[in-house]
Amino acid sequence: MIEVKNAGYTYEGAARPALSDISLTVRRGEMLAVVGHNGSGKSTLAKLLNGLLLPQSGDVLVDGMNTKEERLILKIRQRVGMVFQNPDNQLVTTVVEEDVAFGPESIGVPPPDIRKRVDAALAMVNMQKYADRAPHMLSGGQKQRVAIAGMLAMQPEVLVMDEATAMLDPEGGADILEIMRRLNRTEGITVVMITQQMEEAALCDRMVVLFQGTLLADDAPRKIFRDEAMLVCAGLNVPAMVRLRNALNSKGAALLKEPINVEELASAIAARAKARHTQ
Amino acid sequence: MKNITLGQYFPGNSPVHRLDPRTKILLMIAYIVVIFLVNALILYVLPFAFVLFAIVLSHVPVSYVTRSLKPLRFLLVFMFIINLFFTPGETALLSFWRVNITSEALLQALFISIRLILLVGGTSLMTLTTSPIALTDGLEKLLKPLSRLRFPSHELAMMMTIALRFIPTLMEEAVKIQKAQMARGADFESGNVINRAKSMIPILVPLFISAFRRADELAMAMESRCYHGGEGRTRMRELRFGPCDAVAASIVLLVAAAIIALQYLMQNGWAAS
Repeated sequence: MIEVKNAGYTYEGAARPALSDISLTVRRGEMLAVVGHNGSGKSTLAKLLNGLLLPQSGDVLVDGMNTKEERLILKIRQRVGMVFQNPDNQLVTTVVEEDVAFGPESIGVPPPDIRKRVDAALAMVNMQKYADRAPHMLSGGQKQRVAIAGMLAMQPEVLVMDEATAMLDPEGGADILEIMRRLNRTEGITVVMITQQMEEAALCDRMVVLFQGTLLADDAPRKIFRDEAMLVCAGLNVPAMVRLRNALNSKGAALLKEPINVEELASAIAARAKARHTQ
Repeated sequence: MKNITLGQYFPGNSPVHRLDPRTKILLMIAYIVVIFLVNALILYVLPFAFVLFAIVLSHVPVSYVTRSLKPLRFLLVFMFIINLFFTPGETALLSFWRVNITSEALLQALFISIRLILLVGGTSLMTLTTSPIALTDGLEKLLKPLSRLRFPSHELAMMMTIALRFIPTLMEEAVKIQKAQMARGADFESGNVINRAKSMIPILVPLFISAFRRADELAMAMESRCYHGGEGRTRMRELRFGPCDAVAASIVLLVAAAIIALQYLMQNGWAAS
């Protein structure tokens, strides 16, 4: 789907490269987490994926199209949607449905089709009721849902979420995650979550860890969480549930499975308690 | 702060609301021209009746229209008095001390006030029945022929849209910054005008910095949504002239023609007598 080949990028006036020699493949239909501490280069990587930034060395290919080719850039951006951190700074117009229509209008979709796409996109994020509201009357989570709908209306194959939950309250953030999981499972949209939240990474199929512009790890979250030392070294941590499991293990209450979220941990503890009881 | 209304749009689905914004803008221009052409008091009955008719048709409460006249009241009184005292004339109505009030001056003062009231009342009816986005759309379409002369009609409309979108956001932010500065001991209330203006600097500087950051991020978000200027752009809501527009245009043109004809007759009648 997206291939990043030995990509490097250095901002003007920066002492060290934001990204150096990154190679990464985003596979069709997967949910990929890109985690890293501040300054790890994860936002730069996100901006390479839809050609907002062009790699100074190496290449980024979207379905075989190189982002460096200017005539392909609109096609690439239509395929790779991007949702940013600040919900206020990505809505353009004064009415929700007009805003969702902004993308399709830009790529010249005929008017009746825009209407259909807007309605479908708003339904996918449960915002139909707010179609004629003004964006500034919505909560942060609702604005972010509108931003997602604005991307969905372009019928993208990949959605890149650049710390899209970082500025939201916990409830709003949970809504966004739920929507992203549903879009991934039922609509087959490939999702790239750029995040610092390990709990969000735990929801994904695969995660890559960035540290100072280099790739430290690329594996299933469950496997990466085994190497707590590496994550701490990268300025990150393992999810609270993994920490709890490790603490239980070190106290001698070894759990059979490797739980990484609340449900899994609960059932592992329950299984162990049951096993004890029957002994 | 969250309930700021943009412009003063009063949502509805009346025939006036459904008119094409282009029709409304053009007819508004015709209406303004007529108001300034009229020079007989009695003839103002017609535009006045027209505005009343449009208000009734639009289902906008009359109080909304009169409310838009409220900020005008000082200007109105001021203009009336200035014209009353300082218009030269011959037929003295009242004179005391050094002040002369002539009938010409009274007439002139009345004209100015009526024109102002009709002007603001009529135009605010347009902004009450047209959403800001429809207005900018209409303006863009009307100015489109000028883009051949390199006039940036699409860019202008886009700027207006973004400005309207960000007014509430920036106002909210200004209040937030003001509170943050007050928490740091800034004083916004005391001192003379100059001191108070100076005390706005700690609000304006962070506000501008953040506005530039927002602009940068918004540009990226727009680019991510394939924005590349007005070229090849379609619209979800296409503007289309309908039968309503034809009816509205004929009504306005009829009223205008009637006023001009009556005025011509009256003037020639006076000339004959």
